[in-house]
Amino acid sequence: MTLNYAPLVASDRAGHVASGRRLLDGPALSMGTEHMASHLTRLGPMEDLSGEAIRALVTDSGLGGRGGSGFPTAKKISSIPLGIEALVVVNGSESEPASRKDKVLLAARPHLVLDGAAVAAKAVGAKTVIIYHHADNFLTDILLGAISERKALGQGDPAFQVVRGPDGFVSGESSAIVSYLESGAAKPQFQRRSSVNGVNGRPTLVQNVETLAHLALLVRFGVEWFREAGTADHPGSYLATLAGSTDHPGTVFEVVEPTSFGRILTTKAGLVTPPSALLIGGYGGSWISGERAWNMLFSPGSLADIGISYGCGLLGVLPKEACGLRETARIATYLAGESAGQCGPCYLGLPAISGIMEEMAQGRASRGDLKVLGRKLSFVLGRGACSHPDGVVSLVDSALEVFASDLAQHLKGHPCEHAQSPSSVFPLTMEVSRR
Amino acid sequence: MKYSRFMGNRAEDGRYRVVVDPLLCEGYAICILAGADVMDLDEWGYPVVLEKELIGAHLNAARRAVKACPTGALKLVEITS
Repeated sequence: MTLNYAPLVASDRAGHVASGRRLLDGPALSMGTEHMASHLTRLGPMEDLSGEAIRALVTDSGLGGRGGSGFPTAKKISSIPLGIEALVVVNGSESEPASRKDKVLLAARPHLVLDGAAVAAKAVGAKTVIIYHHADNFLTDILLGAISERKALGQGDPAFQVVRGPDGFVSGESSAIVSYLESGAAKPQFQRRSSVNGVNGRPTLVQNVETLAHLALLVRFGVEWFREAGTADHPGSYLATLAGSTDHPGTVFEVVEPTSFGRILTTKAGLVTPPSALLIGGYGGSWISGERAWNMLFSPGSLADIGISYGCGLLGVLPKEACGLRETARIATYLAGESAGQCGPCYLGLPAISGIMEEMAQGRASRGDLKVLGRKLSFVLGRGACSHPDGVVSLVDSALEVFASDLAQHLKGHPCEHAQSPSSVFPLTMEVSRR
Repeated sequence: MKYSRFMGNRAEDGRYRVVVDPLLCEGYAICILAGADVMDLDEWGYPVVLEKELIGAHLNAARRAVKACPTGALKLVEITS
């Protein structure tokens, strides 16, 4: 089966090593799904470690979650009480429209993810693993196929179940998944600790696809090997997705050693000079100017130093021939429409914010409107049950800073010539295969 | 609670803040009347908490606000740090 995520083929150029042991090493991604036989021949079986040994290994590795917030995996695992049968949920609902690293892992390396889920299940004493993803027929087929390959080899432990959740940006938020599995409504909840009080009261470990794939390799090759990649503070390799104006939007690549933005953009995006700006971490992420980023390292640590989150690893390229304020307005409008509609400050505040951004992008807003926008941003930050509104604040706030000189012109009624461009630089719908 | 008469001391020693559960809050705004100085309304009619840490009269105002909320959306929580 070949992958229908078409531009994925370009990922093969991205420093992939056929004989290597990192996440994307092995057969070319354009070859499609790696089946169990190849997976086992290439990486060997996993050692059958005790739950205690796994927990110690994860602690020593310093692995941080790869779903966006970077929460320490060891801490998450140790927050699961032992003695009650826990549940493991593989979070495969990559909702960021421009991100596809998790889809690529699920499609090309399903057994890496399932191995990791089995390791996590052992660590918390779970017998059941639920693989949750958006209703994507392509991924569902691959996952069901991979599960039956494992059953054919007599691997019945843990039991894997595939659950297809609804579309929607916030439906992949971990408390929304727990809610969906209980009630069928994928809506974020407030301060619910799913590790203790998860699906139907059971302790539930929700882990991102990439995080689990790392576990599969960590158990095989050990802490020392794992820490050879990344930095002391953010060990291990990191997946990232290229988006926006590049030769190959949608390319997924793996950052093994911290590498400069300039080098990544040259080798993977085909750029020779810094772009106007970069959108980092996701749609609820941060803009950074291309000039500033060019010689910086594209790594979670160096981004954290300047207050930017690595998030889901999105690296979005804004070309010189685009208006950053307009693209921000488009994304903010998209995100406002993706509110779950539960919290007033979110479902009322986000459209108000994106509305002002649109007016500003068109050159129809004044200095007074900018002040109003600032007040709305401060009224929205931290006011939701989940962090969805906070993401919009981060996006808009960083745009006002990075595109400050454009903004001054817009406020005088002189929008950029590209502000009228009818097409968005970044995708505004989720990529889901319904065939 | 059984030994609650000692809890008074604890409440004075402890540090508290008010948390609004945005899922339960319906914007009745009764907390604003009961807990003036601690709560205010945003422009959409939902309460914002003005004080990060409640001391003295503010703590009492916050207790009144918590009690007054018809949807049970407010909680007094101890600050742990």
